[in-house]
Amino acid sequence: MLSKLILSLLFLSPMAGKEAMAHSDSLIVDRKDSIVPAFVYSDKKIREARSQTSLKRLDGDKIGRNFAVLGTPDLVKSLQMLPGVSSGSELMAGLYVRGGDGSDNLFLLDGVPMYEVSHLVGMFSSFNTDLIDYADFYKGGFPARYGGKLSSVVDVGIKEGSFDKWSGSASLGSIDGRFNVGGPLVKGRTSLNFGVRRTWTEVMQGLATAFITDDQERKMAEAFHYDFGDFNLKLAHKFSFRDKLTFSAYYGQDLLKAMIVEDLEDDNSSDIDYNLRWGNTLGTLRYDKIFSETLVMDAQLFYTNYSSRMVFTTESSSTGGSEPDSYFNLHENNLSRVYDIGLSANLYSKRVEGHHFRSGGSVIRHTYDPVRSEGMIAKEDNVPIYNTESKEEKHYNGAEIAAYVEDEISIADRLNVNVGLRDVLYVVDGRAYNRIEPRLSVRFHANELLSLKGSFSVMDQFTHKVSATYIDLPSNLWMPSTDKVKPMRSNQWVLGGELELPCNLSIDVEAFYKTMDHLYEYTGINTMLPRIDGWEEVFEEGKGRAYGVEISAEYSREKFFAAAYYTLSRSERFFETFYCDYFPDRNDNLHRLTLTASYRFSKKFELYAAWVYHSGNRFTGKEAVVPGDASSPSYDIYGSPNNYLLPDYHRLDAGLNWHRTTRRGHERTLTLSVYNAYNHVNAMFGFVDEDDGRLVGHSYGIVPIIPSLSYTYRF
Amino acid sequence: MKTKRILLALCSLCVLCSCEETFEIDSKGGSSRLFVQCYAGLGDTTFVHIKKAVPVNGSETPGFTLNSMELRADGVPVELNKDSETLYWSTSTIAPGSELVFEAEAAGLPEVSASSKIPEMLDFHTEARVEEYSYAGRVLRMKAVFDKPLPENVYFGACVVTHATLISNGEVEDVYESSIPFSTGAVGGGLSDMMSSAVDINMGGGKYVSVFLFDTDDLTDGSICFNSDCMRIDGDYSGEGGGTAEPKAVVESRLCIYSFSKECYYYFQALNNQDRNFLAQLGLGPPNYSYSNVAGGYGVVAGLNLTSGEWVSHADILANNYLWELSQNSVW
Repeated sequence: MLSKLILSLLFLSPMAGKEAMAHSDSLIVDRKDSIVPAFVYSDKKIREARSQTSLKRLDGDKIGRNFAVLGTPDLVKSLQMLPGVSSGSELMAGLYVRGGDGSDNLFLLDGVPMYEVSHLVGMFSSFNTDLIDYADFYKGGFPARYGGKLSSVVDVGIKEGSFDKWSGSASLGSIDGRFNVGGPLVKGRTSLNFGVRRTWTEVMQGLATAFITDDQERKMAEAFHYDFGDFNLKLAHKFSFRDKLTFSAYYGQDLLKAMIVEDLEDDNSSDIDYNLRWGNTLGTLRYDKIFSETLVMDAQLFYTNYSSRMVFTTESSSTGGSEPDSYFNLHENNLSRVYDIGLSANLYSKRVEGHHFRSGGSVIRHTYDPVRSEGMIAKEDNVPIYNTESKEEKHYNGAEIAAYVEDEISIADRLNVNVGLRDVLYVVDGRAYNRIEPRLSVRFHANELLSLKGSFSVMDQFTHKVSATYIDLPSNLWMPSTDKVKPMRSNQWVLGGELELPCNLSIDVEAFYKTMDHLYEYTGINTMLPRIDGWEEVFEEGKGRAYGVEISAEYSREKFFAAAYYTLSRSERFFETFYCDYFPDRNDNLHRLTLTASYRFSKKFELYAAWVYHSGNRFTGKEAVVPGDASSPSYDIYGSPNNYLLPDYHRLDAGLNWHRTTRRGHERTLTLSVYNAYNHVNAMFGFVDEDDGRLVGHSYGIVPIIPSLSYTYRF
Repeated sequence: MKTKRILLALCSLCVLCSCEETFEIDSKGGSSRLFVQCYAGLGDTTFVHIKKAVPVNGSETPGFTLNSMELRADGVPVELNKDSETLYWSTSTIAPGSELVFEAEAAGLPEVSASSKIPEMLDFHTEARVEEYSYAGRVLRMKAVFDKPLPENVYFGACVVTHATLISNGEVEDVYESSIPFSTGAVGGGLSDMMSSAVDINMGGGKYVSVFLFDTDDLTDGSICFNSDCMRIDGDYSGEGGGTAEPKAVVESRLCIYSFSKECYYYFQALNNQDRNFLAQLGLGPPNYSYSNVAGGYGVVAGLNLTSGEWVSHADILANNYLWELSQNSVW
């Protein structure tokens, strides 16, 4: 009841009021036992229908029911389906939003930034979909409360446990298992929600190893180990109707061990050991306070850490021969670590009619701490002949102080304007950057069906991903902006319209234009380990631009949902040393189309299918050659980078959910899903060749049809 | 039985998937253009290589007819001597700071033009020493110490040139002079740096110089150090029988520093990048690229300036006891 009251107070304009009421039932049902989030939640929900542009809210339950690769639903793969998003390499958790480069997305888990969001070198994201309450995905028109990354914001909220009753689920997928449970620790006062996920690939590996007969190969197979796992915990305590304290934590880790064994001869051996461990740790304590029905505050203390440790050991020995006994050991240790400690606070006010005012700020201490060390020992007849150690390290302490104000203004029932300003001061290594970021979103309600919208936003990014490759490797480093590497900046304009037809069909059209300055591209050596000392020297500065049109059409009935998402866009880069003009980005997909549908036949069966199509990714090939002769060698001439297109990408995914309800009322779901159902092996990379005076491309792909099965038990 | 068939069909689908595909390319490749490599103001000889670059689709032949070509320094034509159809040279002195303009035209190909500037010479002196390791033998370390602090944004390359005279029975058997190729490079501070900066520059007439590329940011205390492993001192320079007999070989090395115009540096950097960027082909790393300042064509018109250090005799530095026994972790 009180939620209804708050909603009606919040949205005073008649039109907005209608929308509020249209949503109000579900909001109250969803959040009936949590007053404070209801306030925020409802505000977000309504904002989507008001001035906000380029926002897509994904409901946690819906993500969980989406198609699942290897039986594991994935948030980032759900986002990849949306317009304006390129996915990069097949199966990877790449998220290239409106021309972004993948490292410029702000992922927030319960308000805490997460630096790396993938497991298994990018195949799965770090979010356990069983626990996701909602995921707000902003591609543009960023409200002033968000900042720090250029291209998108993915604000993920973890479900609170119920304050009334216990419930949970257990799932077993093709490679992982998940378990979560939530409920009241103190009824009506304190709730807990806990979830854990872990791979069980060891079982498959054990089975495979049993078939290996060669001792050396068996030794290597037994030494191989990979797993990833993560766990979430959320504790909420309501002190009173107006005060709530929430603690939320996340821990996720990947572990990879491998060994290469060479038994050269009887008394000679050589082993190479790999031991890689990487992951995130997050924790936050949040306090929500309702001062009055028109004034709400929250404050949050948080910690986030991403670290990776890679240890490589090479050991060889030789004994008993005519030469002296020898021993050699090379030990490399790579540690990359970035962690933040921060404090943030927000104030929401609706005291002035027609204005919904927000303000807040944050203070964050960033620490970047990569270290690489190497030790080498050589002995002859047990006498040390060589013993060296070297170390390469960099240490940065940075401070980020941000403040924002934002006002959602309703003018004459038909016009909503969100105007905001964000000021960020970033101090690192004796250098201070102050950036002012104006934000503006406007929506004009032409009538009850049609609204026109537009936005402008400026974003700055002060952290840079240092990677020698385009792969999500644990060797990648995060470094701050410095004297030489400037903060990246984007400006984005959006114009569009939204049509809500009475026949349950909604059509959303947005055109965008985005510029990006101070982008950096790696030009150092080909290596998995980018250099730490002097890392700034191996980057070229450039800029980028992206523009296009996105069309979303969604049809929703009680049992049936269908959507079509189309994007026509260009993404380009300019790096002076690479090329004299703008050239296409590697993920410049001119056309992208996703068709998706789900239908619930009965209480037992639910079918899901999605067809994804996009123009091929790009790759670079030489465009001319200079033949060699006696006085000089031959040369390859490269023109515009990313000058060739791979074949178009398309695939069909399908899934079937079979629900059964037990006598106790518990639900059992068996999910059969097929990735790439018609087995079209899409190109992942390619090269060009000459064939009788014309150019011919050759492409290679490796991902065939992947069927999978998963079982979920909800109690 | 039925289940078995279904499983078999599913497995077949997985196994039979095609991994390679041939597809039409949306581009015809590049067009035929003149390719120029003009290295001017070397301190000794200026070279101009001029060729025809042909599209990668193989539709054209490399032959061409050069109608005109001119290189001017501060507006004054530089006299170019023809060595072959594709190679020209000049021994005219071109002063540092001179503005270079290059223009050429060939039948049926777009005209080309480019400009650059001759950079200042970078004066330095050499420090050298020999270290001896029980596992690796004797190695030579050389260091270029710049006489004056280098200003910002100075681009340069460094190489070691080695000269060897082999003597047998009192006769000179052979003479070698080469820029040590350092297949993986060998400059300041570790393998990564080495691999990142080496490029072979074709100086004409089959002469190559293996040069490491630097800019001011790469300096350590105003100097560049050539690390040890690449320059092993093999053989006996002091002569048999305790140094009383005739030496078998006379070996000398010296450091050379090339100052580069900005275009030159970028061009070499691109060549260097092409050599080692194997991930680009797989689309897993930053793209390969070519740099050019030649309008209408490909290649580079570049200003260079060479400063050669003094010759260092390997035998002399050994005799002068610049010897470290088992020098571990010694870093300049």
